[in-house]
Amino acid sequence: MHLLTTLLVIATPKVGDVAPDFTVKDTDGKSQTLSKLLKTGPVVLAFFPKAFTGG
Amino acid sequence: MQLLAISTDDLDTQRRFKAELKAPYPFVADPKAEIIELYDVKTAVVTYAKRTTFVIDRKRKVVRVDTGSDAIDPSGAIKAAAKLAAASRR
Repeated sequence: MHLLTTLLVIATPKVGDVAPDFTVKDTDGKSQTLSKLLKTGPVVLAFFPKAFTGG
Repeated sequence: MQLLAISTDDLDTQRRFKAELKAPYPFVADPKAEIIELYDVKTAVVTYAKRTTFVIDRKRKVVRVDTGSDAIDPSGAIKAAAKLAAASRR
């Protein structure tokens, strides 16, 4: 079920699209789930290529 | 509002980077590029995330996408998210 959902939404979300939900662990070992975070307010997802670079 | 910083860097590198930046927001190590692929921001040849910032509202809708040099400084996205948060509290 999860895999099927993933296959259906592989495309960079555009404005107006529903963002895919996910659960990950942060560097403090804390679990972060997008839908849970959204209960308290908007979320900014900042993807970056490589640490310690400005590019 | 919350910010999550995500890249293919490993856990150790992310921890050091977060400490170096004294960043108040969580960093997520995604070395297998799972979330990166889910959001389709993977680079073509070597596996990195393309620099992209998404602002997502409480209904899980994308309200803003910054890419490339626009996304180097997340403060624009952060301001937009803070505005959204304030608007939804009214």
